[in-house]
Amino acid sequence: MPVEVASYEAIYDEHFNFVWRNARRLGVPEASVDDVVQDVFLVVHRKLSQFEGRSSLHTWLYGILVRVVRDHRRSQARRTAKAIAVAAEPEEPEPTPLDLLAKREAARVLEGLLDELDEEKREVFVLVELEQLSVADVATALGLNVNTAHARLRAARSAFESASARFRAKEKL
Amino acid sequence: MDPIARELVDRARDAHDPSVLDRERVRRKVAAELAATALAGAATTKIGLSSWSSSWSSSWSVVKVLAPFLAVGAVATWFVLRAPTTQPAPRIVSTTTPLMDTTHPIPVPIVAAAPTTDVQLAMSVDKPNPAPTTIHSAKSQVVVAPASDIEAETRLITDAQTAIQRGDFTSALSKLDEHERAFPAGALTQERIAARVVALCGARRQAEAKTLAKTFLQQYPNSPLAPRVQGACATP
Repeated sequence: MPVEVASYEAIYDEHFNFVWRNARRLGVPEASVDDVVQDVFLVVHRKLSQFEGRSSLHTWLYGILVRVVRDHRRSQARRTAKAIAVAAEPEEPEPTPLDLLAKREAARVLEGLLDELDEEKREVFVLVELEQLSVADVATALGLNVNTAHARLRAARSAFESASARFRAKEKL
Repeated sequence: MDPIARELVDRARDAHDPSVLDRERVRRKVAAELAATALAGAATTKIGLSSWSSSWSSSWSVVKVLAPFLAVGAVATWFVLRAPTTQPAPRIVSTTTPLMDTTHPIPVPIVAAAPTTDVQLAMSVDKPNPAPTTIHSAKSQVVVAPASDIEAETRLITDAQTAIQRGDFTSALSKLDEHERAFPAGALTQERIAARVVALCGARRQAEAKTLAKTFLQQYPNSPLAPRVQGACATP
């Protein structure tokens, strides 16, 4: 049965935030996030007619995002550009309100902890713990067996707790 | 997870949300890429751009190979991006600088002094204007298109290119006419004229195509689309 799919424009409007924030959570540096998100929506535009509705739109989008991010990460690694990308991140352009600073600080801490997870654990953790999707949906998005997704989530939670404990210990020093 | 780790996650849940500016900036970039990619579409179909299922990443690299085609739309949008988003649009800007300096090809999407239609543009080749009012004119008025216009333009050009790809040149020309009526000097004018040359060639209207191509190449000798226009009628 044909599935009614939202227009590209509607998807962009509704899911832009989802794609953007998860690109950041998956480790895309601030300097590269425009490119990654742009690539995701170019793929969405090209592939929308083939979306069959067998998974949720969020799941489908996350699958695309993960592929784009992996590609981006590999190309960055090939060029050993990680340091360059970090260095290229713009400094704070203007004095920011306190809440914005607090938000940035929270983002910085979270990024540091997520950086300690390997790619596979991070992809599952972000979608389950931060986007609060079901493990079944995450398994679909990543093309995994549900049991494998559960196993990765357990390992990811454990690794995140360890990273969090190390961070707290360091902050106390 | 332990409560402290849980609290950390909860507090940082919205920490990476984008701003409205992020949303609009990327929207414009995507629109520009789509417009340019659509125009390059006829060429890319020959080398398997649509083979996502086997390797979408390699397909994407094909698009990147076509960067010269993408450049025109992107730089046109660059000009738009420079305009503050809060500024009422369209706005009129006076300039005394050459609008298409070939050594510094700053993209200027709209030129009031340019011929009104693509056909007039073509006719002007055979009837040289004693006081050329081309894009090199010294003092012209430039209208900077707002983002919504870019998207509407992109849609029309994309529709035209899709029609070209399926061999429906009448529909393609109709879409290009529609674009020309709505955006006679829009940000994607070069793309429109180039697509029209391709569509005219496809419709076996070679004489018109060659005249328009000649004009295009005179007006935009350094355009990234020039090779495509030059070889349009040679394409089987």
